[in-house]
Amino acid sequence: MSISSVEHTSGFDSGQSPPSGVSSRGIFSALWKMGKGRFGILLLSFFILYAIWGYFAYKNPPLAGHTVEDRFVRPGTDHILGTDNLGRSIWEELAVGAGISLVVGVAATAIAIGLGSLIGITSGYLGGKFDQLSMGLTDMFITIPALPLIIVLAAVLSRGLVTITLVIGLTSWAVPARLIRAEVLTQSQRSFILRAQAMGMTPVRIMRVHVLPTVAPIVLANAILLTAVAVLTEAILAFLGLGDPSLVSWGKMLQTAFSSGATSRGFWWVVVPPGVLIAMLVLSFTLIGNALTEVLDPRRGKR
Amino acid sequence: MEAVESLKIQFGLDGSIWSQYLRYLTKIFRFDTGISFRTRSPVADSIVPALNNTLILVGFSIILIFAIGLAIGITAGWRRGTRTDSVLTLTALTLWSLPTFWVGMILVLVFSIQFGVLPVAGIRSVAGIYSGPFDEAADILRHLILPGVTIALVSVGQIALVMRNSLAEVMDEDYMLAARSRGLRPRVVLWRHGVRNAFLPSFTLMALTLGMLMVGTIQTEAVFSWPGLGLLMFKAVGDRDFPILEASFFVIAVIVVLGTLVADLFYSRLDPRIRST
Amino acid sequence: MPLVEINDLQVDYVRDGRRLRAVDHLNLRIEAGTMVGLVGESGSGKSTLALSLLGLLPRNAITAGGTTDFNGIRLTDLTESEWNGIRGRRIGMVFQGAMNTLNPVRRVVDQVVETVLCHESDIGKSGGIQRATELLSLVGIPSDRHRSYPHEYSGGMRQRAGIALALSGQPDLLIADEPVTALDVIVQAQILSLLEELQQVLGLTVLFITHDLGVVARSCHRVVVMYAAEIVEDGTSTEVFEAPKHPYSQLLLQSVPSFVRGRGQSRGIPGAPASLLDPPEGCRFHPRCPNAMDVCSTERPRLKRFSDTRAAACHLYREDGDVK
Repeated sequence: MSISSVEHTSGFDSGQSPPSGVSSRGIFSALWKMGKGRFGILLLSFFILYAIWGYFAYKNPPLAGHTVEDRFVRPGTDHILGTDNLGRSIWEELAVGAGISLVVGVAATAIAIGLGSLIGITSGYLGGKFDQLSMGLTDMFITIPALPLIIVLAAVLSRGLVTITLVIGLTSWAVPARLIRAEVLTQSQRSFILRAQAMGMTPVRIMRVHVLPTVAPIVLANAILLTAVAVLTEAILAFLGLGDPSLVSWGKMLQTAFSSGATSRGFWWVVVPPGVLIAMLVLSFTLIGNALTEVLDPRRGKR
Repeated sequence: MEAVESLKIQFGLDGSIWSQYLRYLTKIFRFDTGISFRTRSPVADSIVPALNNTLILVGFSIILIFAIGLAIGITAGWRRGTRTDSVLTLTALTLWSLPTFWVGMILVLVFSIQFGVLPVAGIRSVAGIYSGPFDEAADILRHLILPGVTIALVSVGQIALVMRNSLAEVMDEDYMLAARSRGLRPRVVLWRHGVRNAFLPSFTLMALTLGMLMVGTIQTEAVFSWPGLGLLMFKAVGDRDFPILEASFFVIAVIVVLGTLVADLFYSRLDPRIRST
Repeated sequence: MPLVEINDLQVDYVRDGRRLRAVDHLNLRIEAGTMVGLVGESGSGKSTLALSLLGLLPRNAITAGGTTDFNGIRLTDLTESEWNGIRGRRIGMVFQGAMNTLNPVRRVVDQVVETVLCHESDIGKSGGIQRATELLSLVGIPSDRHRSYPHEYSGGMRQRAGIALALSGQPDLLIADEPVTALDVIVQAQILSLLEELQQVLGLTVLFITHDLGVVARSCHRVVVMYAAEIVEDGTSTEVFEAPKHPYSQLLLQSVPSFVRGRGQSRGIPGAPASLLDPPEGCRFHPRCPNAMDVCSTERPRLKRFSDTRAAACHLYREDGDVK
């Protein structure tokens, strides 16, 4: 009846670049405004700084030369958080472990997201037989339970930091691939992509220049949430004895605690701190990831 | 040399990689899982009782997870946007961030060591002398509590979050407003209209997290020495007992796939819109 | 005494610290047994008015002032638990787009039974089923379809079910918020006939909210026109359609295609609806009004009552209804 709202028909988008409406500065300030976004960012920043400090402060924790009296010392003036079964200071080990958790988490996620986006974007954009095949493969990886598969792989391969990172990465790419593909499918019909196709751009170029930047925010949100899982998985693997035996990680600390009987002897200071830190690091990623998802998809936000 | 050769033949490790793989596939189809490297007895002997114990643990945990998780999720969703919602959501997120094995260790520290009320490990008391089946069941139940709560605590967070989001979406649907406009009491509207609809999408999502449940189960069995498939796998890794490793992996994978299938079938019964197509 | 009496009602929405007035000093009386059409564009405040009559305003809405009386009960003073006795039982509502107003996972008859038993718990399950069956038949749903699910119904049937549900508590007042907007023309006519019939047979009072003048002309005794959170014209259908007073009503009528006027005669209304966040000074319609005078941009016109039935809010008219 009334000739009121100006209508945006899809043909009238101006310009060549995809109208993204999200810039990195915009995203960051939007996250900062949210309670959980802000908390997550602060928490994560703390851990990054903590890891850096830990790396430099305790690069060479004195492992050798402890006497029997140093074992399982309660927290006190000598050792802020006590010592473990070999007399190592819990405080120092925690600081060093921070870096490992972060590095493995981020690196494994990078592999998973890299592989996942590759498959997700090409599959979603190109469609057809290729899409069917790759989605079949992806679904297989999704259905197979991750941890048992990881355990089998880690058992067969050598124990090392790189192995762990690769194994986690190569088993986690399937879910992101599906989500990214879904996003690509939604975006593929937008005008700037159709225009690029009409102009005769090669598919590869379109994917690289147009599709990738448009799905990037969603990919980022997924990546952050995936990092949370990766950090947890690394801890679990270390606890199960599949991690790098020479490196200190929080999971490894808990494995040591368990196998040395700290739990059954009630030595809580060996058990509690590493778990708390793992949980907090995972929580920071989860909060940021959730906040990011809400920011990018306001429809799903709370009302 | 001969001894090595005969061992190889005994365990099926002779021949090229491809022939070994072929042999493996045919054996799987005949449910022939082979001989354990360690115990020298058939793998099936170890797998079956372990499977049993794992199922007991998983079953118990699922009940806990549903009960607590749905309660938290529904409360948070019903009161979305309020302080209660934020607190519950944050709690759920925090729970989800906890490493399962660590939760187990903490629970042992607190309840077994500090307070001494619940057993540290295993499925039965060591002495194992029972006056009857109920006595045995009660003992197993005592041993079930800590491991069950361990697995549940982490997954509760996930289900609560899913249910909360699902319910929050449903709350905005017109039929909720319409139901209230007819004078139906808020409680009725919540349960018969809200939750009844919100349960559907959360059900599928929960079914997909069966894999996650196995992750928690494996860790918990390791911490509590619960004689299930997870512990079997865990020990097999250390012993490099590949037949056991393969078999337990296979069984776990089958459980997850079957569970997802069952959940799928169940879902189509719940949603009348799917049923008629 | 009128069944509904709204005096100086003000309803605001609050978001991000800003206030939007969706209903502004509104006065309305509805007599029992009549069908009143409430006409307005989207954003004119009519849905807000409807929701306020049921106490179902969203959490960010506040009744900032005024009163609403229903049959002697002051609705604006009711507590939440007191509303339970009103909703469905004294006042019922039919919504637009009945696909979403029916619970998709329950059978239609079960939903009606649920409402019937909610208001008449003493008749028991079988009594409830009987009443529900009667109701569904009353609205024209064949009995072999009672046990179906909502998604198995056509649009028209769903709307009939929606009407049945709204009537299951036997309310005195039925609010119909765009009940036929989402339906195709033939089904529209059927549902309208149904509503007219029900209104006469059951003695209902109906508040028929719509943006479609054709519908109002056909079914309603009285027409009330809303613009930008206010009532700008009020009168019987005959009065308003034959001689609309407010320029907005005049333009509305002209914009409806008509066989009588012939082709090429319908015009839209220039401009955009007034923003409720930042309404124009003076008369809210004046930026789009072809008859705007100087006073229109500075002074808001009151709703002047010309007779028992006739009123308009426009500076063009003197107290007796004649043009200045």
